[in-house]
Amino acid sequence: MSQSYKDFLDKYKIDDFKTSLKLTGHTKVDFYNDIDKLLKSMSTIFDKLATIAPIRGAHVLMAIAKLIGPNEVVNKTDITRCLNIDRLEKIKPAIEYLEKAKYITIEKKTEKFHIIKLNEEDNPDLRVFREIIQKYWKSPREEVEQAKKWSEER
Amino acid sequence: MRNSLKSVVELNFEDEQSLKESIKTIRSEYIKKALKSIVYITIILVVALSYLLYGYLPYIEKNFFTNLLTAESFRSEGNSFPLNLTLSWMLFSTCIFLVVYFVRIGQVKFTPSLIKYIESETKYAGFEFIKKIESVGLFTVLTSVSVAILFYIDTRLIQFDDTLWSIFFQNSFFIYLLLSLIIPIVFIFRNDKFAIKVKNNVFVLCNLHYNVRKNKKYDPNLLGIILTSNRLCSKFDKSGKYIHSKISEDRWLIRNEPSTISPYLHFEEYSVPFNFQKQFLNIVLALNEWENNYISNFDSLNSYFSNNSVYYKYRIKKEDHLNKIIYLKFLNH
Repeated sequence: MSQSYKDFLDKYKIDDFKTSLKLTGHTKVDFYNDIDKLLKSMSTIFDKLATIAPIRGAHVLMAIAKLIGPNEVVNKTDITRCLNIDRLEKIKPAIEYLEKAKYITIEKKTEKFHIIKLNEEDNPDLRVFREIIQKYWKSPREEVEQAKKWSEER
Repeated sequence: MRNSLKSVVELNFEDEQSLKESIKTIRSEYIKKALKSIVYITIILVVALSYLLYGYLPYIEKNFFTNLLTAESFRSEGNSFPLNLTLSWMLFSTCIFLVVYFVRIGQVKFTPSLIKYIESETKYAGFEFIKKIESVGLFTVLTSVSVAILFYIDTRLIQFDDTLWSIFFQNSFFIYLLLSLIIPIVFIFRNDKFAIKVKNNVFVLCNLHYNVRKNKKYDPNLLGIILTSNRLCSKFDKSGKYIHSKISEDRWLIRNEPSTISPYLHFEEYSVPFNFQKQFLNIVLALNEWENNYISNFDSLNSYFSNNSVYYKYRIKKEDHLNKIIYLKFLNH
């Protein structure tokens, strides 16, 4: 299937209300694969747009979305580790920008320990963003590990 | 922040203000470097001219250059310069080589603080940023050989006559002299590069795209680093071309050919300093995918003769494998 939302609708006749959607056996697998492909493409688009942006804000937002979970506490060190950045100062302007734009919230537990969360309350779209990122996005840390493993082969 | 020991400035590209300051630093370092190159070139030219004017010119006979390697010049008496050819060639070739070398250094826009920035980014990703200088070594070796032979000619241990072998040696040596100068100069432009070693025989070349002229407007893409992989395969290899375009498409790599003359395929990626590591990893993982999926024509021929079937891993293995995983995931849901 081509990676197009329109093709996806046409293929399963989803916007055709006269035809009922029947998903059985292989069709169900195809349907799942097609949605999976679309979401994966969206994750790639997020990642590429983040590299085009002049500041690191988008990648920091992606790192927070990747790390956040019901029992997970995310701080700035976790973000630098996830993005494979050597110094905390490098993400400071991005964090400041994201907080100002209300995309994230920062809970200051102590002077140095800050808990960072996605502001899903004010930005409901961030929920689907988090789901896509957590499932499909490969963080720079994971990419470094993969690249290192390959480089050390043979 | 200035490192007092090495006087290398730590660059920062994280916000508009830092970016402007970093660009300013790079510009001033580049101008310093270019001026240094001009000073070196001037010194070389002054030394060469002084030698020519004060030490050499009075001894030049009318037809000296035309008879330089001919038998007559070696037989001529009264030349008070015992190492005429050796010294002249050494000076001539070294001057030409160094002038071209410093002109090239003046053109290359990598500056100490930018090198330090890329070095640390690369090191943090677990790789090594190296400056490949092959031309100097090659020039030293080739010139040493020519100087040794010229020394024997000057001291008359090698003498020429009118025999066929003698003429053949004379001509061959003359061609060698030219090549010993031309090849290192070609190497200056082609092989002296900044590269990141990924693994044995796999590397990524770095070229800088940077406009030195002062830009009044803020432009986050003012400074760009073009990353080019090593050769992958011939442009005429159909399977290679297919895999190359598939990987480039999936990873959003630049689709322009690095050179229209080059008969080989490469991966190419563009980065600005803040996303250097990310873009570098993108090209490294593309190389990893290439290695996993491409079988060279030679290997596929071997495979044909051993298995009686030619296959390309990318088309068959990857798609099947993906489908299976997704199918299993689906069943687990």
